Amino acid sequence: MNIQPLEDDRSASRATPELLGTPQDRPASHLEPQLAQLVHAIGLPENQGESLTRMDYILVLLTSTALPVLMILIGRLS
Amino acid sequence: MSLKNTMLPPTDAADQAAVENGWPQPKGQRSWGPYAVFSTSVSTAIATWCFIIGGFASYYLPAGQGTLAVLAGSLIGILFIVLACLPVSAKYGIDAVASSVPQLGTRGSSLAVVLIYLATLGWNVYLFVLLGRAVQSIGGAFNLALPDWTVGAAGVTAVLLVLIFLRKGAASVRNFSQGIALAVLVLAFVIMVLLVNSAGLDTLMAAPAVAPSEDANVNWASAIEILIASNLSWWAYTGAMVRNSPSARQSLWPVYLGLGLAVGVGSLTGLYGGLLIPGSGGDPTQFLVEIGGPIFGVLALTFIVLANIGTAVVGSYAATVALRQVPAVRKTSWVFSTLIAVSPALVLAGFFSQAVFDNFSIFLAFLGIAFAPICGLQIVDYFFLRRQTYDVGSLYNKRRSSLYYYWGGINPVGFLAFVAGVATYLYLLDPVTYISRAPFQFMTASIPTIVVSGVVYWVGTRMFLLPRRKGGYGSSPAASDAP
Repeated sequence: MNIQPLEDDRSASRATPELLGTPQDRPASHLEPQLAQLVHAIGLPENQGESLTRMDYILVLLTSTALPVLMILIGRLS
Repeated sequence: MSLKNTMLPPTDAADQAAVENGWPQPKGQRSWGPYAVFSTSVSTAIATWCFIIGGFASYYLPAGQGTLAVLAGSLIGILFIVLACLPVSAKYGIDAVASSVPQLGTRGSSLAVVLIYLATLGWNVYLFVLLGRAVQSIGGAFNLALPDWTVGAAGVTAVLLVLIFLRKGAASVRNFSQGIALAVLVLAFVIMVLLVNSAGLDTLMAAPAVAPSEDANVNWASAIEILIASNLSWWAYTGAMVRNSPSARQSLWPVYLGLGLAVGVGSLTGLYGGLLIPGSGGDPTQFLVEIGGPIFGVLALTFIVLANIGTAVVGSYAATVALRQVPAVRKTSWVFSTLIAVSPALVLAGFFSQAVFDNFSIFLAFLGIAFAPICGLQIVDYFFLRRQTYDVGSLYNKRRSSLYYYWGGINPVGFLAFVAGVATYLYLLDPVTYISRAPFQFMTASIPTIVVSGVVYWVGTRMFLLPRRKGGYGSSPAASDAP
Protein backbone atom coordinates (compact mmCIF):
# COMPACT_ATOMS: atom_id res chain seq x y z
CA MET A 1 0.00 0.00 0.00
CA ASN A 2 1.12 3.48 -0.70
CA ILE A 3 0.17 5.24 2.48
CA GLN A 4 1.95 7.65 4.72
CA PRO A 5 3.74 6.43 7.86
CA LEU A 6 1.66 6.22 11.00
CA GLU A 7 4.01 7.36 13.69
CA ASP A 8 2.76 10.18 15.89
CA ASP A 9 -0.41 10.53 13.85
CA ARG A 10 -2.37 11.92 16.79
CA SER A 11 -0.69 15.26 16.47
CA ALA A 12 -2.06 15.57 12.96
CA SER A 13 -5.69 15.32 13.97
CA ARG A 14 -6.08 18.10 16.47
CA ALA A 15 -8.42 20.30 14.45
CA THR A 16 -11.21 19.86 16.95
CA PRO A 17 -14.58 21.11 15.69
CA GLU A 18 -17.00 22.82 17.97
CA LEU A 19 -19.18 19.83 18.48
CA LEU A 20 -16.72 17.05 18.14
CA GLY A 21 -14.37 15.29 20.50
CA THR A 22 -10.92 14.30 19.38
CA PRO A 23 -11.58 11.82 16.62
CA GLN A 24 -8.41 9.87 16.22
CA ASP A 25 -8.01 9.57 19.98
CA ARG A 26 -10.67 6.88 19.93
CA PRO A 27 -9.25 3.42 20.54
CA ALA A 28 -9.26 1.25 17.44
CA SER A 29 -7.53 -1.72 19.02
CA HIS A 30 -10.43 -4.07 18.42
CA LEU A 31 -10.62 -3.36 14.70
CA GLU A 32 -9.02 -5.81 12.31
CA PRO A 33 -5.31 -4.97 11.98
CA GLN A 34 -5.54 -3.93 8.34
CA LEU A 35 -8.59 -1.81 9.03
CA ALA A 36 -7.01 -0.26 12.11
CA GLN A 37 -3.99 0.67 10.02
CA LEU A 38 -6.17 2.29 7.39
CA VAL A 39 -8.16 4.16 10.03
CA HIS A 40 -5.00 5.58 11.54
CA ALA A 41 -3.62 6.43 8.11
CA ILE A 42 -6.74 8.25 6.98
CA GLY A 43 -6.47 10.44 10.08
CA LEU A 44 -3.42 12.08 8.57
CA PRO A 45 -4.38 15.05 6.39
CA GLU A 46 -1.92 13.98 3.70
CA ASN A 47 -3.81 10.69 3.32
CA GLN A 48 -7.18 12.39 2.94
CA GLY A 49 -8.64 13.31 -0.42
CA GLU A 50 -8.40 16.86 -1.66
CA SER A 51 -11.47 18.80 -0.53
CA LEU A 52 -13.69 21.09 -2.56
CA THR A 53 -12.85 24.76 -2.34
CA ARG A 54 -15.26 27.57 -1.57
CA MET A 55 -15.27 28.46 -5.27
CA ASP A 56 -16.25 24.89 -6.17
CA TYR A 57 -19.25 25.12 -3.87
CA ILE A 58 -20.23 28.51 -5.26
CA LEU A 59 -20.01 27.28 -8.85
CA VAL A 60 -21.97 24.10 -8.24
CA LEU A 61 -24.64 25.97 -6.26
CA LEU A 62 -24.96 28.56 -9.02
CA THR A 63 -25.18 25.90 -11.73
CA SER A 64 -27.80 23.98 -9.79
CA THR A 65 -29.97 26.96 -8.92
CA ALA A 66 -29.48 29.79 -11.41
CA LEU A 67 -29.50 27.59 -14.50
CA PRO A 68 -32.66 25.65 -13.57
CA VAL A 69 -34.42 28.89 -12.57
CA LEU A 70 -33.49 30.36 -15.93
CA MET A 71 -34.76 27.26 -17.75
CA ILE A 72 -38.02 27.33 -15.82
CA LEU A 73 -38.50 31.04 -16.53
CA ILE A 74 -37.84 30.54 -20.23
CA GLY A 75 -40.22 27.59 -20.31
CA ARG A 76 -42.97 29.39 -18.45
CA LEU A 77 -42.72 32.50 -20.61
CA SER A 78 -42.65 30.60 -23.90
CA MET B 1 -24.54 0.74 -13.19
CA SER B 2 -20.90 0.01 -12.83
CA LEU B 3 -18.78 -2.42 -10.95
CA LYS B 4 -15.58 -0.63 -11.57
CA ASN B 5 -14.84 0.19 -7.98
CA THR B 6 -14.90 -3.47 -7.09
CA MET B 7 -13.11 -4.59 -10.22
CA LEU B 8 -9.96 -2.56 -9.83
CA PRO B 9 -6.82 -4.63 -9.80
CA PRO B 10 -5.67 -4.23 -6.20
CA THR B 11 -2.02 -3.65 -5.61
CA ASP B 12 -1.88 -5.97 -2.62
CA ALA B 13 -4.11 -7.84 -0.21
CA ALA B 14 -4.65 -4.82 2.02
CA ASP B 15 -5.72 -2.68 -0.94
CA GLN B 16 -8.09 -5.42 -2.04
CA ALA B 17 -9.62 -5.64 1.43
CA ALA B 18 -10.08 -1.88 1.51
CA VAL B 19 -11.84 -1.86 -1.85
CA GLU B 20 -14.06 -4.90 -1.34
CA ASN B 21 -15.02 -4.26 2.28
CA GLY B 22 -15.69 -0.57 1.85
CA TRP B 23 -12.87 0.37 4.21
CA PRO B 24 -11.33 3.84 4.06
CA GLN B 25 -8.91 4.29 1.21
CA PRO B 26 -5.93 6.58 1.81
CA LYS B 27 -5.25 9.01 -1.01
CA GLY B 28 -2.17 7.20 -2.23
CA GLN B 29 -4.26 4.12 -2.81
CA ARG B 30 -6.74 5.80 -5.13
CA SER B 31 -6.11 5.61 -8.83
CA TRP B 32 -9.16 7.11 -10.57
CA GLY B 33 -8.74 10.28 -12.55
CA PRO B 34 -11.54 12.57 -13.78
CA TYR B 35 -12.16 10.47 -16.89
CA ALA B 36 -12.58 7.26 -14.90
CA VAL B 37 -15.07 8.98 -12.58
CA PHE B 38 -16.94 10.48 -15.54
CA SER B 39 -17.13 7.31 -17.61
CA THR B 40 -18.21 5.25 -14.63
CA SER B 41 -20.81 7.88 -13.73
CA VAL B 42 -22.24 7.80 -17.23
CA SER B 43 -22.33 4.01 -17.25
CA THR B 44 -24.08 4.06 -13.89
CA ALA B 45 -26.74 6.50 -15.00
CA ILE B 46 -27.41 5.66 -18.60
CA ALA B 47 -29.50 2.59 -19.31
CA THR B 48 -32.81 1.91 -20.96
CA TRP B 49 -34.61 3.09 -17.84
CA CYS B 50 -33.89 6.62 -19.07
CA PHE B 51 -36.60 6.08 -21.70
CA ILE B 52 -39.33 5.50 -19.14
CA ILE B 53 -38.10 8.33 -16.92
CA GLY B 54 -38.55 10.73 -19.83
CA GLY B 55 -41.76 8.97 -20.82
CA PHE B 56 -43.21 9.69 -17.40
CA ALA B 57 -42.37 13.37 -17.82
CA SER B 58 -44.38 13.36 -21.05
CA TYR B 59 -47.55 12.95 -18.99
CA TYR B 60 -47.13 16.50 -17.72
CA LEU B 61 -45.40 18.75 -20.23
CA PRO B 62 -45.05 19.10 -24.02
CA ALA B 63 -41.70 18.82 -25.77
CA GLY B 64 -40.30 22.34 -25.38
CA GLN B 65 -41.23 22.86 -21.75
CA GLY B 66 -40.57 19.21 -20.96
CA THR B 67 -37.01 19.45 -22.28
CA LEU B 68 -36.29 22.41 -20.02
CA ALA B 69 -37.97 20.81 -17.01
CA VAL B 70 -36.14 17.50 -17.45
CA LEU B 71 -32.75 19.22 -17.69
CA ALA B 72 -33.55 21.57 -14.80
CA GLY B 73 -34.66 18.67 -12.61
CA SER B 74 -31.50 16.71 -13.32
CA LEU B 75 -29.31 19.71 -12.41
CA ILE B 76 -31.20 20.28 -9.16
CA GLY B 77 -31.27 16.60 -8.16
CA ILE B 78 -27.58 15.99 -8.59
CA LEU B 79 -26.76 19.00 -6.37
CA PHE B 80 -28.01 17.18 -3.29
CA ILE B 81 -26.06 14.06 -4.19
CA VAL B 82 -22.91 16.08 -4.69
CA LEU B 83 -23.33 17.84 -1.33
CA ALA B 84 -24.29 14.70 0.61
CA CYS B 85 -21.85 12.21 -0.84
CA LEU B 86 -18.90 13.78 -2.59
CA PRO B 87 -17.08 15.70 0.18
CA VAL B 88 -17.25 12.87 2.73
CA SER B 89 -16.46 9.98 0.45
CA ALA B 90 -13.66 11.81 -1.31
CA LYS B 91 -12.08 12.98 1.94
CA TYR B 92 -12.07 9.65 3.75
CA GLY B 93 -12.35 7.18 0.86
CA ILE B 94 -15.52 5.63 2.27
CA ASP B 95 -18.77 4.45 0.68
CA ALA B 96 -22.41 5.41 1.23
CA VAL B 97 -23.14 2.95 4.02
CA ALA B 98 -20.12 4.00 6.07
CA SER B 99 -20.94 7.67 5.53
CA SER B 100 -24.43 7.14 6.99
CA VAL B 101 -23.14 5.75 10.31
CA PRO B 102 -22.67 9.16 12.04
CA GLN B 103 -26.33 10.05 11.42
CA LEU B 104 -28.05 6.69 11.84
CA GLY B 105 -25.74 4.87 14.25
CA THR B 106 -23.53 1.82 13.94
CA ARG B 107 -26.54 -0.49 13.67
CA GLY B 108 -28.96 2.05 12.26
CA SER B 109 -26.85 2.30 9.12
CA SER B 110 -28.47 -0.99 8.14
CA LEU B 111 -31.26 1.24 6.88
CA ALA B 112 -28.85 2.48 4.22
CA VAL B 113 -28.12 -1.11 3.22
CA VAL B 114 -31.83 -1.82 2.86
CA LEU B 115 -32.43 1.32 0.80
CA ILE B 116 -29.50 0.60 -1.49
CA TYR B 117 -30.74 -2.95 -2.00
CA LEU B 118 -34.28 -1.81 -2.79
CA ALA B 119 -33.11 0.88 -5.20
CA THR B 120 -30.81 -1.44 -7.15
CA LEU B 121 -33.47 -4.15 -7.11
CA GLY B 122 -36.09 -1.73 -8.38
CA TRP B 123 -34.01 -0.52 -11.31
CA ASN B 124 -33.23 -4.16 -12.17
CA VAL B 125 -36.91 -5.10 -12.19
CA TYR B 126 -37.61 -2.35 -14.72
CA LEU B 127 -34.77 -3.62 -16.89
CA PHE B 128 -36.28 -7.12 -16.87
CA VAL B 129 -39.75 -5.81 -17.67
CA LEU B 130 -38.46 -3.65 -20.54
CA LEU B 131 -36.58 -6.67 -21.81
CA GLY B 132 -39.77 -8.73 -21.76
CA ARG B 133 -41.65 -6.03 -23.65
CA ALA B 134 -38.83 -5.92 -26.22
CA VAL B 135 -39.14 -9.67 -26.75
CA GLN B 136 -42.88 -9.34 -27.26
CA SER B 137 -42.31 -6.56 -29.79
CA ILE B 138 -39.76 -8.67 -31.68
CA GLY B 139 -42.47 -11.28 -32.04
CA GLY B 140 -44.80 -8.56 -33.30
CA ALA B 141 -42.27 -7.58 -35.96
CA PHE B 142 -42.58 -11.12 -37.33
CA ASN B 143 -46.39 -10.94 -37.18
CA LEU B 144 -46.44 -13.19 -34.14
CA ALA B 145 -49.03 -12.03 -31.63
CA LEU B 146 -47.21 -13.21 -28.54
CA PRO B 147 -49.46 -13.36 -25.47
CA ASP B 148 -48.93 -11.00 -22.57
CA TRP B 149 -47.41 -13.70 -20.40
CA THR B 150 -44.49 -13.72 -22.83
CA VAL B 151 -43.27 -10.52 -21.18
CA GLY B 152 -43.11 -12.24 -17.79
CA ALA B 153 -41.61 -15.41 -19.21
CA ALA B 154 -38.87 -13.44 -20.96
CA GLY B 155 -38.24 -11.52 -17.74
CA VAL B 156 -37.90 -14.74 -15.75
CA THR B 157 -35.57 -16.20 -18.37
CA ALA B 158 -33.44 -13.08 -18.18
CA VAL B 159 -33.28 -13.28 -14.39
CA LEU B 160 -32.12 -16.89 -14.61
CA LEU B 161 -29.49 -15.92 -17.19
CA VAL B 162 -28.27 -13.21 -14.85
CA LEU B 163 -28.00 -15.78 -12.06
CA ILE B 164 -25.90 -18.00 -14.29
CA PHE B 165 -23.64 -15.10 -15.24
CA LEU B 166 -23.19 -14.19 -11.59
CA ARG B 167 -22.47 -17.66 -10.24
CA LYS B 168 -18.74 -17.03 -9.95
CA GLY B 169 -19.05 -13.63 -8.36
CA ALA B 170 -17.15 -10.54 -9.41
CA ALA B 171 -14.53 -12.60 -11.22
CA SER B 172 -17.14 -13.73 -13.73
CA VAL B 173 -18.50 -10.25 -14.37
CA ARG B 174 -16.94 -8.19 -17.10
CA ASN B 175 -16.97 -4.46 -16.75
CA PHE B 176 -18.99 -3.97 -19.91
CA SER B 177 -21.29 -1.35 -18.51
CA GLN B 178 -19.40 1.52 -20.12
CA GLY B 179 -19.81 -0.02 -23.56
CA ILE B 180 -23.50 -0.58 -22.92
CA ALA B 181 -23.95 2.99 -21.74
CA LEU B 182 -22.30 4.35 -24.87
CA ALA B 183 -24.41 2.11 -27.09
CA VAL B 184 -27.61 3.11 -25.26
CA LEU B 185 -26.72 6.77 -25.75
CA VAL B 186 -26.21 6.16 -29.47
CA LEU B 187 -29.48 4.23 -29.63
CA ALA B 188 -31.29 7.04 -27.82
CA PHE B 189 -29.93 9.55 -30.33
CA VAL B 190 -30.90 7.36 -33.30
CA ILE B 191 -34.41 6.87 -31.91
CA MET B 192 -34.71 10.62 -31.35
CA VAL B 193 -33.74 11.30 -34.98
CA LEU B 194 -36.17 8.65 -36.21
CA LEU B 195 -38.97 10.09 -34.10
CA VAL B 196 -38.41 13.59 -35.42
CA ASN B 197 -38.04 12.35 -38.99
CA SER B 198 -41.15 10.22 -38.89
CA ALA B 199 -43.42 12.71 -37.18
CA GLY B 200 -41.77 16.01 -38.02
CA LEU B 201 -40.36 18.60 -35.67
CA ASP B 202 -43.52 20.70 -35.84
CA THR B 203 -45.65 17.74 -34.83
CA LEU B 204 -43.33 16.98 -31.92
CA MET B 205 -43.37 20.55 -30.67
CA ALA B 206 -47.15 20.74 -31.01
CA ALA B 207 -47.83 17.39 -29.34
CA PRO B 208 -49.71 17.96 -26.09
CA ALA B 209 -48.76 16.43 -22.79
CA VAL B 210 -50.33 13.02 -22.32
CA ALA B 211 -52.17 13.51 -19.03
CA PRO B 212 -51.46 16.96 -17.64
CA SER B 213 -52.90 18.50 -14.52
CA GLU B 214 -55.06 21.58 -14.82
CA ASP B 215 -52.48 23.54 -12.84
CA ALA B 216 -49.45 24.43 -14.96
CA ASN B 217 -47.32 24.78 -11.83
CA VAL B 218 -48.12 21.19 -10.84
CA ASN B 219 -47.07 19.98 -14.28
CA TRP B 220 -43.74 21.73 -14.03
CA ALA B 221 -43.16 20.56 -10.48
CA SER B 222 -44.08 16.98 -11.38
CA ALA B 223 -41.70 16.81 -14.34
CA ILE B 224 -38.89 18.33 -12.28
CA GLU B 225 -39.65 16.03 -9.34
CA ILE B 226 -39.32 12.96 -11.58
CA LEU B 227 -35.76 13.92 -12.47
CA ILE B 228 -34.83 14.96 -8.94
CA ALA B 229 -36.02 11.64 -7.55
CA SER B 230 -34.24 9.69 -10.28
CA ASN B 231 -31.02 11.50 -9.50
CA LEU B 232 -31.37 10.97 -5.76
CA SER B 233 -31.08 7.23 -6.34
CA TRP B 234 -27.43 7.81 -7.27
CA TRP B 235 -26.82 8.23 -3.55
CA ALA B 236 -26.27 4.49 -3.52
CA TYR B 237 -23.43 4.66 -6.05
CA THR B 238 -21.68 8.02 -5.75
CA GLY B 239 -19.66 7.21 -2.65
CA ALA B 240 -18.47 3.94 -4.13
CA MET B 241 -17.15 5.81 -7.16
CA VAL B 242 -15.60 8.96 -5.75
CA ARG B 243 -13.79 7.12 -2.94
CA ASN B 244 -11.47 5.83 -5.67
CA SER B 245 -10.41 9.34 -6.68
CA PRO B 246 -7.77 11.26 -4.72
CA SER B 247 -9.54 14.57 -5.17
CA ALA B 248 -13.08 15.79 -4.63
CA ARG B 249 -12.29 18.67 -6.97
CA GLN B 250 -11.39 16.26 -9.78
CA SER B 251 -14.60 14.29 -9.21
CA LEU B 252 -17.04 17.18 -8.86
CA TRP B 253 -17.87 17.96 -12.49
CA PRO B 254 -17.45 14.40 -13.79
CA VAL B 255 -20.08 13.30 -11.26
CA TYR B 256 -22.25 16.34 -11.86
CA LEU B 257 -22.30 15.86 -15.61
CA GLY B 258 -21.92 12.08 -15.80
CA LEU B 259 -24.58 11.19 -13.26
CA GLY B 260 -26.82 14.24 -13.22
CA LEU B 261 -27.01 15.81 -16.64
CA ALA B 262 -26.56 12.46 -18.42
CA VAL B 263 -29.85 11.17 -17.05
CA GLY B 264 -31.60 14.32 -18.20
CA VAL B 265 -30.18 14.12 -21.70
CA GLY B 266 -30.82 10.37 -21.87
CA SER B 267 -34.43 10.88 -20.81
CA LEU B 268 -35.28 13.29 -23.62
CA THR B 269 -35.82 10.47 -26.11
CA GLY B 270 -38.34 8.95 -23.75
CA LEU B 271 -40.03 12.32 -23.37
CA TYR B 272 -40.40 12.76 -27.12
CA GLY B 273 -41.43 9.15 -27.65
CA GLY B 274 -44.06 9.44 -24.95
CA LEU B 275 -45.48 12.56 -26.57
CA LEU B 276 -45.55 11.26 -30.15
CA ILE B 277 -46.77 7.77 -29.31
CA PRO B 278 -49.17 8.29 -26.40
CA GLY B 279 -49.62 5.10 -24.46
CA SER B 280 -46.03 4.00 -24.98
CA GLY B 281 -44.89 5.69 -21.78
CA GLY B 282 -41.69 6.55 -23.64
CA ASP B 283 -40.82 2.86 -23.90
CA PRO B 284 -39.20 2.50 -27.35
CA THR B 285 -39.94 -1.22 -27.46
CA GLN B 286 -43.51 -0.19 -28.27
CA PHE B 287 -42.69 1.86 -31.36
CA LEU B 288 -39.23 0.95 -32.66
CA VAL B 289 -40.56 -1.29 -35.44
CA GLU B 290 -43.16 1.32 -36.35
CA ILE B 291 -40.73 4.19 -36.76
CA GLY B 292 -37.61 2.31 -37.90
CA GLY B 293 -39.02 -0.46 -40.01
CA PRO B 294 -38.83 -4.19 -39.27
CA ILE B 295 -35.10 -4.68 -39.85
CA PHE B 296 -33.91 -1.74 -37.74
CA GLY B 297 -36.68 -2.41 -35.24
CA VAL B 298 -35.70 -6.01 -34.64
CA LEU B 299 -32.00 -5.16 -34.45
CA ALA B 300 -32.62 -2.35 -31.98
CA LEU B 301 -34.97 -4.47 -29.89
CA THR B 302 -32.46 -7.29 -29.82
CA PHE B 303 -29.85 -4.82 -28.67
CA ILE B 304 -32.19 -3.66 -25.87
CA VAL B 305 -32.61 -7.27 -24.75
CA LEU B 306 -28.85 -7.84 -24.62
CA ALA B 307 -28.07 -4.45 -23.09
CA ASN B 308 -30.63 -4.95 -20.36
CA ILE B 309 -29.19 -8.33 -19.46
CA GLY B 310 -25.73 -6.77 -19.29
CA THR B 311 -26.89 -3.88 -17.13
CA ALA B 312 -28.92 -6.22 -14.94
CA VAL B 313 -25.90 -8.43 -14.33
CA VAL B 314 -24.05 -5.44 -12.95
CA GLY B 315 -27.08 -4.19 -11.03
CA SER B 316 -27.80 -7.62 -9.56
CA TYR B 317 -24.19 -7.88 -8.48
CA ALA B 318 -24.52 -4.52 -6.72
CA ALA B 319 -27.76 -5.65 -5.06
CA THR B 320 -26.09 -8.86 -3.89
CA VAL B 321 -23.13 -6.97 -2.46
CA ALA B 322 -25.52 -4.69 -0.57
CA LEU B 323 -27.48 -7.66 0.75
CA ARG B 324 -24.33 -9.46 1.87
CA GLN B 325 -23.67 -6.66 4.32
CA VAL B 326 -26.38 -8.36 6.37
CA PRO B 327 -24.44 -10.87 8.53
CA ALA B 328 -26.99 -13.68 8.07
CA VAL B 329 -26.77 -13.38 4.30
CA ARG B 330 -22.97 -13.08 4.33
CA LYS B 331 -22.79 -16.52 5.95
CA THR B 332 -24.49 -18.12 2.96
CA SER B 333 -22.79 -19.05 -0.31
CA TRP B 334 -22.37 -16.44 -3.03
CA VAL B 335 -24.75 -18.30 -5.34
CA PHE B 336 -27.43 -18.49 -2.66
CA SER B 337 -26.91 -14.79 -1.92
CA THR B 338 -27.48 -13.87 -5.55
CA LEU B 339 -30.61 -16.03 -5.56
CA ILE B 340 -31.95 -14.20 -2.51
CA ALA B 341 -31.02 -10.85 -4.04
CA VAL B 342 -32.82 -11.40 -7.35
CA SER B 343 -35.77 -13.46 -6.09
CA PRO B 344 -38.06 -10.45 -5.76
CA ALA B 345 -37.16 -9.48 -9.33
CA LEU B 346 -38.04 -13.02 -10.42
CA VAL B 347 -41.52 -12.66 -8.94
CA LEU B 348 -42.17 -9.06 -9.94
CA ALA B 349 -40.87 -9.31 -13.51
CA GLY B 350 -42.31 -12.78 -13.98
CA PHE B 351 -45.83 -12.37 -12.69
CA PHE B 352 -46.54 -8.67 -12.32
CA SER B 353 -44.73 -7.12 -15.28
CA GLN B 354 -47.65 -4.98 -16.44
CA ALA B 355 -48.42 -3.78 -12.92
CA VAL B 356 -44.74 -2.97 -12.39
CA PHE B 357 -44.58 -0.96 -15.62
CA ASP B 358 -47.82 0.86 -14.86
CA ASN B 359 -46.60 1.85 -11.40
CA PHE B 360 -43.28 3.40 -12.28
CA SER B 361 -44.44 6.51 -10.46
CA ILE B 362 -44.45 4.58 -7.19
CA PHE B 363 -40.86 3.51 -7.68
CA LEU B 364 -39.81 7.07 -8.51
CA ALA B 365 -41.59 8.31 -5.40
CA PHE B 366 -39.86 5.61 -3.36
CA LEU B 367 -36.50 6.95 -4.52
CA GLY B 368 -37.45 10.42 -3.31
CA ILE B 369 -38.89 9.09 -0.05
CA ALA B 370 -35.82 6.98 0.63
CA PHE B 371 -32.93 9.17 -0.37
CA ALA B 372 -34.12 12.75 0.07
CA PRO B 373 -34.21 12.46 3.89
CA ILE B 374 -30.82 10.75 3.96
CA CYS B 375 -29.34 13.57 1.90
CA GLY B 376 -30.86 16.14 4.27
CA LEU B 377 -29.39 14.44 7.32
CA GLN B 378 -25.96 14.06 5.82
CA ILE B 379 -25.66 17.59 4.47
CA VAL B 380 -26.67 19.17 7.78
CA ASP B 381 -24.56 16.82 9.86
CA TYR B 382 -21.38 17.11 7.85
CA PHE B 383 -21.46 20.84 7.10
CA PHE B 384 -23.30 22.40 10.03
CA LEU B 385 -22.88 20.06 13.00
CA ARG B 386 -19.56 18.30 12.62
CA ARG B 387 -17.66 20.93 10.64
CA GLN B 388 -16.63 18.39 7.99
CA THR B 389 -14.88 16.00 10.34
CA TYR B 390 -15.80 12.40 11.14
CA ASP B 391 -14.15 9.90 13.44
CA VAL B 392 -13.33 7.24 10.86
CA GLY B 393 -12.51 4.55 13.42
CA SER B 394 -15.99 4.88 14.90
CA LEU B 395 -17.55 4.27 11.50
CA TYR B 396 -16.31 0.68 11.59
CA ASN B 397 -16.40 0.07 15.33
CA LYS B 398 -19.63 -1.70 16.29
CA ARG B 399 -18.93 -1.54 20.05
CA ARG B 400 -20.05 0.92 22.67
CA SER B 401 -16.72 2.69 22.37
CA SER B 402 -17.74 3.99 18.95
CA LEU B 403 -18.68 7.65 18.97
CA TYR B 404 -21.63 6.69 16.80
CA TYR B 405 -22.99 3.91 18.99
CA TYR B 406 -25.69 6.21 20.45
CA TRP B 407 -28.24 3.91 22.11
CA GLY B 408 -27.82 0.30 21.08
CA GLY B 409 -26.18 1.39 17.85
CA ILE B 410 -29.13 3.52 16.78
CA ASN B 411 -29.45 7.30 16.69
CA PRO B 412 -33.10 8.11 17.47
CA VAL B 413 -32.70 11.67 16.23
CA GLY B 414 -31.50 10.40 12.86
CA PHE B 415 -34.48 8.10 12.53
CA LEU B 416 -36.88 10.79 13.73
CA ALA B 417 -35.54 13.16 11.08
CA PHE B 418 -35.79 10.42 8.47
CA VAL B 419 -39.43 9.75 9.41
CA ALA B 420 -40.16 13.49 9.35
CA GLY B 421 -38.76 13.61 5.83
CA VAL B 422 -40.83 10.63 4.72
CA ALA B 423 -43.98 12.19 6.20
CA THR B 424 -43.23 15.46 4.43
CA TYR B 425 -42.88 13.71 1.10
CA LEU B 426 -46.06 11.68 1.57
CA TYR B 427 -47.97 14.82 2.54
CA LEU B 428 -46.82 16.68 -0.54
CA LEU B 429 -47.14 13.90 -3.09
CA ASP B 430 -49.23 10.73 -3.04
CA PRO B 431 -46.88 8.13 -4.55
CA VAL B 432 -49.76 6.01 -5.84
CA THR B 433 -52.04 8.60 -7.44
CA TYR B 434 -49.38 11.29 -7.88
CA ILE B 435 -51.92 13.79 -6.57
CA SER B 436 -50.09 16.62 -4.84
CA ARG B 437 -50.72 19.13 -2.09
CA ALA B 438 -49.44 22.68 -1.74
CA PRO B 439 -46.69 23.80 -1.77
CA PHE B 440 -45.67 20.94 -4.09
CA GLN B 441 -46.42 23.05 -7.16
CA PHE B 442 -43.78 25.58 -6.13
CA MET B 443 -41.20 23.41 -4.36
CA THR B 444 -41.60 19.80 -5.61
CA ALA B 445 -41.64 17.07 -2.95
CA SER B 446 -37.98 16.11 -2.64
CA ILE B 447 -36.64 19.59 -1.92
CA PRO B 448 -38.90 20.26 1.11
CA THR B 449 -38.22 16.70 2.27
CA ILE B 450 -34.49 17.36 2.28
CA VAL B 451 -34.99 20.64 4.13
CA VAL B 452 -37.39 19.25 6.75
CA SER B 453 -35.29 16.19 7.55
CA GLY B 454 -32.18 18.36 7.78
CA VAL B 455 -33.82 20.91 10.07
CA VAL B 456 -35.30 18.22 12.32
CA TYR B 457 -31.89 16.58 12.58
CA TRP B 458 -30.19 19.86 13.40
CA VAL B 459 -32.76 20.79 16.08
CA GLY B 460 -32.83 17.28 17.54
CA THR B 461 -29.07 17.14 17.73
CA ARG B 462 -28.74 20.54 19.41
CA MET B 463 -31.55 19.90 21.88
CA PHE B 464 -31.22 16.20 22.59
CA LEU B 465 -27.87 14.70 21.58
CA LEU B 466 -25.55 17.58 22.39
CA PRO B 467 -26.62 17.98 26.05
CA ARG B 468 -26.16 14.23 26.49
CA ARG B 469 -22.85 14.23 24.67
CA LYS B 470 -23.94 11.44 22.39
CA GLY B 471 -22.80 10.71 18.88
CA GLY B 472 -19.51 12.53 19.22
CA TYR B 473 -21.35 15.83 19.67
CA GLY B 474 -19.88 17.78 22.57
CA SER B 475 -17.15 15.88 24.30
CA SER B 476 -16.29 12.23 23.91
CA PRO B 477 -18.57 9.73 25.60
CA ALA B 478 -17.20 7.39 28.19
CA ALA B 479 -15.28 4.88 26.20
CA SER B 480 -15.97 1.28 26.82
CA ASP B 481 -14.61 -1.70 25.04
CA ALA B 482 -17.43 -3.86 26.25
CA PRO B 483 -18.91 -5.74 23.33
